[in-house]
Amino acid sequence: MKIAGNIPVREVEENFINIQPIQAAGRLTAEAMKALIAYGDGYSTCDQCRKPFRLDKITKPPIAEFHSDLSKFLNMDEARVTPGARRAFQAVCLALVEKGDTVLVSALGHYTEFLAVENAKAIVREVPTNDLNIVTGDAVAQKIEEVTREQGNPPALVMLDHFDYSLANEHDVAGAAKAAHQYDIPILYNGAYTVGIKPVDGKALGVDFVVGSGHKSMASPAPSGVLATTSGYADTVFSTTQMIGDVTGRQFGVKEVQMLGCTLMGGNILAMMASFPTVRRRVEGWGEYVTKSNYVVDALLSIKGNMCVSEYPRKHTLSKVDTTGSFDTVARIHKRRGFFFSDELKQRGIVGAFSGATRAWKLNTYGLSWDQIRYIADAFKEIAGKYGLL
Amino acid sequence: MAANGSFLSIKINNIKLLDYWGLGMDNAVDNLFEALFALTDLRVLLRETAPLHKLSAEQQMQAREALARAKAALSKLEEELQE
Repeated sequence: MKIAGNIPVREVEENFINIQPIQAAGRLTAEAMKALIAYGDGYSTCDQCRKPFRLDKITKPPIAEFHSDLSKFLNMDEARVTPGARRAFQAVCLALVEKGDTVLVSALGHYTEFLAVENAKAIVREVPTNDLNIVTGDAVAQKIEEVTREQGNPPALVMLDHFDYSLANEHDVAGAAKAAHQYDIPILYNGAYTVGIKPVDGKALGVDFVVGSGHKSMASPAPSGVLATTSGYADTVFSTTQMIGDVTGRQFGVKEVQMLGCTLMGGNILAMMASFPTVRRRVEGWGEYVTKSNYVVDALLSIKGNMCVSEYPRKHTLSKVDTTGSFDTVARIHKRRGFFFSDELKQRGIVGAFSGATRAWKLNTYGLSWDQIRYIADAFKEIAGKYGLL
Repeated sequence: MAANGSFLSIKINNIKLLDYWGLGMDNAVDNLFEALFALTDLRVLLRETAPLHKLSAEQQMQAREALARAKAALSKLEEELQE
């Protein structure tokens, strides 16, 4: 089936269990799909945009209320929706960081943090992980002191992923926040892998900015995200334009500079809003999703030669595993090479593992039912049994 | 859609989707969205039960309800567009 002649209908989620590492928690709710049907037109949020003509002030549909709900959800003071987490990193960097400043990120930090820092003409310095691949508060403090000693000035900002994209290990955000604040440095919490799937309390963590990804963890279309902050930083990061046109004398009043005015003007924000009641409920069930994640990882570990590269037991639904000692031994002699494994999974209705990968690869079990979880676990063991790996 | 037949009540959670203007919504449009939304509920059910689509008793009931909603809305839509 095709759309407009050459765009295939995407049936992945309907026909398969999808364990792709970055897609799991961005799958839409039924309500979000309905919102897209009704609000897909370009500027669909703008039917009743009234003075002061800004997205977060629109009351019909209740976009203003959603912004207020978002900040409460994260226990912060102000929130804005953004086109993805990356645009939130960019907004904070452009607002707080000067040319030549240093910004600390984790050695497991996402590449978009690097780009946001570079975009502000600042310099990234990485906080190393410990032997367990965890960033600690002490490591952040040591790096701050090192940078300050070398450059004579402390870093302008610390950015830390709560759970990183690579291993989904949990890093010590609260410890890092304490360390950063001892040196009067603001800290940004990267919750791309937490906001929308587990409870996040920005004030309890002691952070100045909370960033989430709508399409990664809030059951929303891409691009969508959230930037929340404290009342102390809101005026800085959400500053309004002061520019006046020299010919026309035009001014644009309440438009926020770092947001480039309105951000998500169509179906994306409505879908995000439509998923929000589900998102708010589902974070309370995080513990069970972690249990399910461990069930699948345990099934993989029951196969001789397999290892969990991520911290174990798992604290997240995203995991990196190493099957060099099992499935890769088959790949070395199989006519399909590494593709034998994804072929076997696909035959069983499972997709999302990186095609051809049989050494280190990632999977994400977020959102799956117990029936689906058991099915995946059994499939891994069945494939192993077929090739004499048990 | 409201049981009282109001045209103002198609909502997705707390988002009133249609008829901001308070003029009343055309019945055909109302039924069109109702059918699309019912089929969307069915789509999500297929996702939740992939890859085997073996439905539990409760899921079978949900599927029947969604199909009945879609059929009823389409039937009304057909009538309205022939008037």
